[in-house]
Amino acid sequence: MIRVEGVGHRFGSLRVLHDVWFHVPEGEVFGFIGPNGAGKTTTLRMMATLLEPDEGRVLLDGVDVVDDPAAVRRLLGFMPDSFGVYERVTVIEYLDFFAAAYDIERSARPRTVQAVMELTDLGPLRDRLVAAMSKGMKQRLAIARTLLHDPKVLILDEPANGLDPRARIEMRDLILQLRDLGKTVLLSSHILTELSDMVSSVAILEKGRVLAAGKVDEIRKNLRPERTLRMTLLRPPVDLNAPFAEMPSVHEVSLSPDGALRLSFEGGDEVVAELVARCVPYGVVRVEPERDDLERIFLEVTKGELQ
Amino acid sequence: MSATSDAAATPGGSPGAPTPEAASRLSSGLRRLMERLMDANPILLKEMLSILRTKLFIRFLYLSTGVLAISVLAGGAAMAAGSMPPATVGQVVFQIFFTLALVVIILVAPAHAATFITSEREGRTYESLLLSGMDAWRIVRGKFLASFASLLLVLVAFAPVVGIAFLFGGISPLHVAFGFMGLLFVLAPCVAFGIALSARLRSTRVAILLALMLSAPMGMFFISSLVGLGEAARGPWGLKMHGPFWFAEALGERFFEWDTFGLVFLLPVFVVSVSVWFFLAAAMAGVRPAAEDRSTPFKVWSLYALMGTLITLFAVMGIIGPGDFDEASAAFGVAAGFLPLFFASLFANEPPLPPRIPPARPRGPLRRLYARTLGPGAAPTTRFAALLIVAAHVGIAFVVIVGGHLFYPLAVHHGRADAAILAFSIGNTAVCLCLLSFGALLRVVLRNGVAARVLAVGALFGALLLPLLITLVVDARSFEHMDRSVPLLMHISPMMPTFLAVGIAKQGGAGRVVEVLTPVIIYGLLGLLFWVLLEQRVRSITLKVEAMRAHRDELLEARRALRPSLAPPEAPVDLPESAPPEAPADPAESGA
Repeated sequence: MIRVEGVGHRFGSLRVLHDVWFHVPEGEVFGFIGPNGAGKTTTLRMMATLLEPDEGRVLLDGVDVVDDPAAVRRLLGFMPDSFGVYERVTVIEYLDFFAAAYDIERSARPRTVQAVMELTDLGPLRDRLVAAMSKGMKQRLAIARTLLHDPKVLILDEPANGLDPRARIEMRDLILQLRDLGKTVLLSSHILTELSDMVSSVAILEKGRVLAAGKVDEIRKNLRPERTLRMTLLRPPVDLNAPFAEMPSVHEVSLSPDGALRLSFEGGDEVVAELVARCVPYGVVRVEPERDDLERIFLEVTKGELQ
Repeated sequence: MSATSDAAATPGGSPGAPTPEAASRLSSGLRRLMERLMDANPILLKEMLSILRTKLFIRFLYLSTGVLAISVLAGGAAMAAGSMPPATVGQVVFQIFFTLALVVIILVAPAHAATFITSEREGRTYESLLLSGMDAWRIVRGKFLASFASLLLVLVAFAPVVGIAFLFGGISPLHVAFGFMGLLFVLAPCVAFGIALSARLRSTRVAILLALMLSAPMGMFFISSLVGLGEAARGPWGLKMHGPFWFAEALGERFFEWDTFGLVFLLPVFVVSVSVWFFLAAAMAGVRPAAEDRSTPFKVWSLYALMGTLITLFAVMGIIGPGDFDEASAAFGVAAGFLPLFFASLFANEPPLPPRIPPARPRGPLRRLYARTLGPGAAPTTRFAALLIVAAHVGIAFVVIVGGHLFYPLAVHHGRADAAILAFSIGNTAVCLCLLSFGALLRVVLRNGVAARVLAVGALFGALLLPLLITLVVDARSFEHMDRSVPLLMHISPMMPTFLAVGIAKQGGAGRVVEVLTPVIIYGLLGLLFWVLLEQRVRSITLKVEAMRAHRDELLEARRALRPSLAPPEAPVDLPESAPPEAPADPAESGA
């Protein structure tokens, strides 16, 4: 759905993007991650037709963002990282204004606005002045605005930035709901733990270069074939290594602070089945993969350099 | 299909009668059209809602109306205390009211409108507006209408104050109506000027400051000119009122007199429309990104401005009178010659290549032909402007000659008047073409429109002042008989066609062929040289950009072939790059 091919960009003499390549498949939630100043916003602004690449090209649904920005804008809903809203209008007036701006027919406008308000849970606030809304609600309103023309692609730059925990959870649920509606969602974020719940693919950017891109599992495999499993047992063995003594694929067994076994191993799902089978006598309560995959990948891939 | 529609669709149905399908299409088309017409510009609605919810605006409304009412009352009371007849007091109060309202409009309207687009930029809502797919014209029109409508509310709030004048008499409701019409005529260009500033600037504060700095002196000049014109019109038209709003009395008393109707109604309508259109075209150019066509709105405007000017010139020919018609017609022709000079400066600011974004690649053979030959881009725009300049001078000469013969068939100096305007038109065409091609060439070479215009107009002034100063130093007395013989060095001045026109109108043109041809040859040849250089430069840039794009595409294809998946390389290193052809530094040159 989105193809970024060899994109490069300069601001004056400063080269901010170098040969950026990645592909966002249709219907996916794609994470675009990187430290501050890595070039994420520049790349997203190019996709949104607000900036032209100096090198390479960006295609949305096969349409070049430079050759036909008007067509791209019809396909796209973009929420920038720092955006403004019209403060002295109500929620419904705000959405109605953008519905008219998107050239939605006058007779169809109330229906469209109502549907978008329902989707984003803004219905109860329909007559509230935008100035009187919380930041989280304004973020929600900005997303609602991007949905009015039913775009195929949503690009959200730091959508959870500055939100409280509840608003973040609501935002995540909304994004997952949009994915279920068949939208392709590209979102950049610093909050990797939250991204890992939503995204299936990522691109990691540092100093204007893509260091890794693709499915999270594939990147992890390429980086380090070792996998980590957390197993909570009813009666953990005294010798932690004893149950796995004859399994050379198990590299390390340790006890985490919450009492769960932490198993580092190499291999596929058959090894997981074998590990579980050997632990059955100790009463297996819960088995889960370690949840910090994305953070670990990010830390291993990036060097923490700024440009 | 229903029986009715079957019957209607059969060949046996009455020939020419619309089928139900056609009628239904027509009615749905009409319904859509009505819906579009009823659907107000969304920016207008949004801005009006915002403005009416702004406390500052409401306070301004109260405060300005209060101050105006007190001033008018105080003025009226002071006048009534003297020995002035009540009717005259009423007229003075009328003038005080409208003059104060005019000052408010001139000062407030540009500054108010100047915030409309900059505030979107500063409030970071501008990008959402652009991404909504609204075109530049819709944005500019909405902003203009919103600012105009909000200031109209101020005028509506002021309106009851004029009632004080009725207490004294001496004015009629018609006078008041024409007075308000005058305010609206001033309000429209003031708002359009503010919107144009707003579209060009980034900061609201700078926009307001600039609007105030420009509108205050321009307003003073405008009001003084209005008073002066009123004094000039008082005698011939028998007007009683003094002050800038004399035209309200003129229109109220003599609306159906053709000279009053033409000069005080039609001419202002043209001036207002031409200035509003120009400022809105400038605002559109400011709103559109560099990759879009910015010159076509100016081209359409220039055609309207030219047509209107020629019609005005024709009307003016009818009122100058047979006495001095030869000299007066030359003077008006020369005055009209400033318009093509303005065109030359206006169109000398195009990037070398046409923009890439549609409608730069229009559909339809005629539009494609226009885009290729006279459309956006330095070379086509220069061709368009050159044609326009030639047409303007042909038009001026035609109108002055035909008007002179038509209105004053018995006048004796037709030969002089015709020769004067022909000499001016030919010479000034060469001067304008030279300025145009020089400016366009500078724009392409310097890659900066402002610098190109300043340098081109500076060179024109240099060519004007230098011969003048040298001649003054060498022999100041040679200027005493300019109408008979122009000093030798002044032959190279761009004002030479004007000197000639005046001289020939006074003394006749016999034996002055060499003088007529000198500026034509000098400026014509220079203009031709710059034009050829411009076309060559544009061609070379076009070839460079095409080569650069082809190279970029080749490189991209090669990289894509090397990289079947879009994952990055294992080690983040750049793929080998061959040196691209030299790229033009100006993004606008590559159509960006």
